[in-house]
Amino acid sequence: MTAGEAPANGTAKNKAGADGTAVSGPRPRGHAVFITVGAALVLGFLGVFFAWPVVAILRLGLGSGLGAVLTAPETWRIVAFTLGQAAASTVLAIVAGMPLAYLLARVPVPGKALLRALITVPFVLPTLVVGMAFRALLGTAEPNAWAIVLANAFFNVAVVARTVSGLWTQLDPRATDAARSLGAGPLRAFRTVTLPALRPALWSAAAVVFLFCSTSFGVVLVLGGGRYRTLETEIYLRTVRLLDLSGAAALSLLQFAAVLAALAVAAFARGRRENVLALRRSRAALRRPIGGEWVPVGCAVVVLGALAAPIVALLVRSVNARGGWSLAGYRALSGTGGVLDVSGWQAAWNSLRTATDATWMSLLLGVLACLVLTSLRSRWAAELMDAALMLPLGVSAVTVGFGYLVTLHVLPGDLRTSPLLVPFAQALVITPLVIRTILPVLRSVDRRVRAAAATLGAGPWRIRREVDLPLAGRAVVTAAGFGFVVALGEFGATGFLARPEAPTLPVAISTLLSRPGELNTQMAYAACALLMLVTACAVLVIETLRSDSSGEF
Amino acid sequence: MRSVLGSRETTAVPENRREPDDGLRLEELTVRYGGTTALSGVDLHVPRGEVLAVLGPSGCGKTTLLRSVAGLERPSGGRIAFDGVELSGVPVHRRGFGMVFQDGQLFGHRDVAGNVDFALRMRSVGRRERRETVARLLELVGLAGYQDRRVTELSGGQAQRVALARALAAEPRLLLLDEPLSGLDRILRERLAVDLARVLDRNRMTGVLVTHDHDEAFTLADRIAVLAAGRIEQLDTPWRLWHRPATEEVARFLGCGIVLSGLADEETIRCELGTLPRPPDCPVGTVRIGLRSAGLRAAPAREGTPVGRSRAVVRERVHRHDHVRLTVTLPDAPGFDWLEAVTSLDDVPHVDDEVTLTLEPNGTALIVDS
Repeated sequence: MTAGEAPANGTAKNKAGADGTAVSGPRPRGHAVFITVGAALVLGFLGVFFAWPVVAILRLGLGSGLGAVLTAPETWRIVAFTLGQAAASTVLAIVAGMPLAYLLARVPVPGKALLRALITVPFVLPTLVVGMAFRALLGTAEPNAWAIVLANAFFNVAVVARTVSGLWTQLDPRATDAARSLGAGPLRAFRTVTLPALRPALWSAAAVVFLFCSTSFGVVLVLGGGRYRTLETEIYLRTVRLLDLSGAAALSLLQFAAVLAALAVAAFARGRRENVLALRRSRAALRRPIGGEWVPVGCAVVVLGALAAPIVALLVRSVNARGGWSLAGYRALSGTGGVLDVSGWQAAWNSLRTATDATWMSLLLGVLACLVLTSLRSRWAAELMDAALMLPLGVSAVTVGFGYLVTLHVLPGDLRTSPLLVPFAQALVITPLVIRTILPVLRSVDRRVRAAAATLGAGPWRIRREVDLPLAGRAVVTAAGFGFVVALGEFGATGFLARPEAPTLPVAISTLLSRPGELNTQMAYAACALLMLVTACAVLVIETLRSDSSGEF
Repeated sequence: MRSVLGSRETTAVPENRREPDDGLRLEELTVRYGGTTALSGVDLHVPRGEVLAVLGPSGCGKTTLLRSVAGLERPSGGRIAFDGVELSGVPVHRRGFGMVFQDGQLFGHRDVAGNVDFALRMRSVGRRERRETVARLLELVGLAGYQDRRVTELSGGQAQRVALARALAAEPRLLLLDEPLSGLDRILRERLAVDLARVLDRNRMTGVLVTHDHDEAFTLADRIAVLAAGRIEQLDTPWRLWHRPATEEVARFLGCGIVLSGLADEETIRCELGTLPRPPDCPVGTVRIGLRSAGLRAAPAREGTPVGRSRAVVRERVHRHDHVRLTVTLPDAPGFDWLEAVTSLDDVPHVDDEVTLTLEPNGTALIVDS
C-alpha cells in the first residue's frame, strides 16, 4: 500500500519442498479438518475485508468513465510521474544502500545490532512523518519533486541494505579471494564475482522498493502539494475530494496491474535467490577494511549522516518555531480545543490502542495462515494462497478504506461505526508483513526435524507446539513488533476510516497540516516527533530481541 | 561386525525364530513422484531381530524406501506391514518406528536430555523415570553425563550418538537408520559403526539401514539389499554379496573395477591374469571374476615366471599405510590397460622393474550365472 508501510520479504524456503511439510504419509483425520477450517477462516477474512470492498469499488466505478480516464493525457502524465519518481527513488536507494550492505555484511562494526536498528528506523517511520521531516529539512512547504524522490529513497535504503547484506553475509568470501589471486583488482573482483552473486537480492530489493515508491502516499501528499501527483494520491483525491468514483476505479485498476507486475518480478527474483542460498553455507567473513575498502565504508558513513539529517531536522523544527526556540507545539498538543477534537495525548492513546488491536488480529490471522501454508500438501494450493495473502500489499489503501464504507453496512452489527473498523483495515495492511516474517522461518526448519519428532511419537499438533513454536517464537515476536509499528503509522486506510472524534496520531497530524497557522504546524511537528520516538523505541526493542541477522524482515 | 561374528553363508537369523508374519514386510512397494518412479515393486522381509541394510548409489530410491516405511511418504502402490498389520492408514507418530537421520536432525532448541526424553514426554512418562531413562541411554551410547549440553556444542559424532539415544528412547519396534554415519570423518565413522553395531546387537533391534557406503552396510547389517534405480538387484548376506555378487553391476558397485571371464574346472578357475582355487559353491564352466584393487598381488620377478602367473612392468608406485600400491602394464597382454596391484612393504619393486602377478582370492568376487 503506501511506501514503507510493509517491510520487505526475502524468504529462504526449504529446498525439500515448496510446501515445507515434513510428512506426506498418512495423517490423522482431525488435522485435515483443521487445515480446511483454517484455510476457510483466512481466505474468508481476506474475502470479506479485502476482496469484497475492492471489487465493490471497482464495480462502482467501472461502469462509465474508464475509457475517458484512460484516454485523458492527464492520466498518463500522472502515470509517467509515478513511474519516473519510483524509478529515480529506486536507483537512489540502491546506490545509497549498497555501502551500508557492505558495512553490515563484511566489516566488524562494534554495536552492529544498534547500527542495523538505526538503519531500519527510517523504514518504519510513518509516511507523514517522513514527509514532514523533509519539509523541515528543506525549510519550505513548496511542492518539490526531488524532495519526493529523496524521501522515498530515505525510506527504502533500509530495504536495500538489509536484503542485500542478508545475502552478502552468506557469500563465501573466498570466491572473491580466488578472483583476487587470479589477478583481478578489488573493483573488478566486486564487479565480476560479488555483484553477480548479489544480483538476486538486488533484483528482489529493487522490485520491492519500486513497488513501495510507486504506491507512495503520505510522502507525496505532504511534499507534492497539489502539483506532483502519483496514482495513489490521485485515487485519494478523486475519491475523497472530487467524488469521481469511476475515475478512481480506473486508476485503481491501472495501479493494480502495475503492482502485480512488480510483485511478479519480486517473486521471480526471490525464487532465484532461494536457489542461490541453498548452495551456500554461512561463514563469518568480517575483517577490517584495507586500502581501497575504506571508500565504501566512507560512503556508508555519509549515507548514515544523510539518513540522520531529516530526523534531526524534524526534531529541531518541533522545538524551533520561526520566532525562536519554543515548546509551544508540545504544550498545545497536550491541551484540547483548537483544530483537534481531542488532545494530542488522546490521539497518541488512540494510536496505541488501534495498533494493539490490529497487531493481535494480524498475528492471529498471520499465524493461522502460516500454519495452513506449511500444512498444505499441494504445492500449487500453497503458492496460490501465499500469493492471495500478499495481494493487500498491492492495492491502494485508499481503495480498501473507501470500499469498507460501501460494503460493510451489509454485515450485521454495522461495522462502519465500530471502533474495530480501523484495526481491521490496519490488520489487513500488516498481515502480509506478519506472514513474510514468520513463514520463512517455518519453511527454513529442516523438514527432517519435524519428521524426527513424528517418528518419536509426536502428532501434527505436538510437532507444532514442540518444534515449530519454539523455533518460530522469536519471529512471531518480531512480526508483532514490526506489525505494531507499521499499524501505528498507517495513514492510507486509517485516514479514511477513523472517526473525527477518535483520530490516531497520523490522522491528527494530517488534520493539523491541512489548517493554516504557525501553531498548528508547530503542533504537527511535535506530534511527528512523538510518533517517531514511539516508533524508534519499538524498533530498538525488536532489534535487541532478534538473534539472527539473516536479513529477512 | 555381525557378519564377521556370524558364520559365513548362513542367514544370520536362526530358522526357529522366524514366523511368517514376523517383522517388517514390503510387498510390491511402488512410489512415484509425478512422472518419475522412485521405487518400483520392491519386496522385502525383515524378520524381528534382524538388521537389513539397503545399499545403493545416491538417487537409487533408498531414502524413499525408508521414508515410506516410516510413514513420511505415501506409497503409490503395494503394501507395508509390520507383524502382519497393514500400515497404510497409520500416521507416522503411531507406527512405533524410530528413525535416525543423516546429520542427526536434533532439536536445536533443546539440550541433550531434552532431545533424548522427547519421545518419553510424548508418552507422558513421569519426570523421574524420564531422568533415569535418559541417563541409561546416554551411557549406552557413550555420552554419560552429557544431559545439560547444548546440542549445538556437540561434535558430529556426539550428535549422532544423541540421535541414536533419542530414537531408542521411544523403544521402537523397528529402527530406521538413514545414512547415520555418512556425515562423519573416517576414524570417527569406524568407531561409531562398531558402537552402533554393539547397541543394535545387544538390544536385538530390528532395523533397516540405508546407505551408499558399503563399509557401513557390512558393519551393521545381517543381510544387505542392493538397490538400483528403484529395484532390488540382490538380497543376500554380506559375505555372499561381497564374494558372489549376482550381476556385474553389483560387482562394480562393490568395488570390482575389472571383470574378467574365467573357466572353472574341478580344481581351479583360470583367467587371463592367473588362476584361483575353485570354491565348492562355484559350478564348473564359464564364470566371471570381479577384481578389486587388492585382487592382484605383485612380487619382484625372479628367474623364470612360475606357471599361472603373468609378467608385468611397474609404471607407478604409491605408498599406503600398510601396503604399496602399484600401477602395472602387461607386455604379454596389451588388451589390458593399466592395472592396479598391491605388494608388501618389505620387498618393494621400483618403477620399470618387472614383477609377477598372482590373483588374490580375498580380493576377487565370483559372478556365477544362475
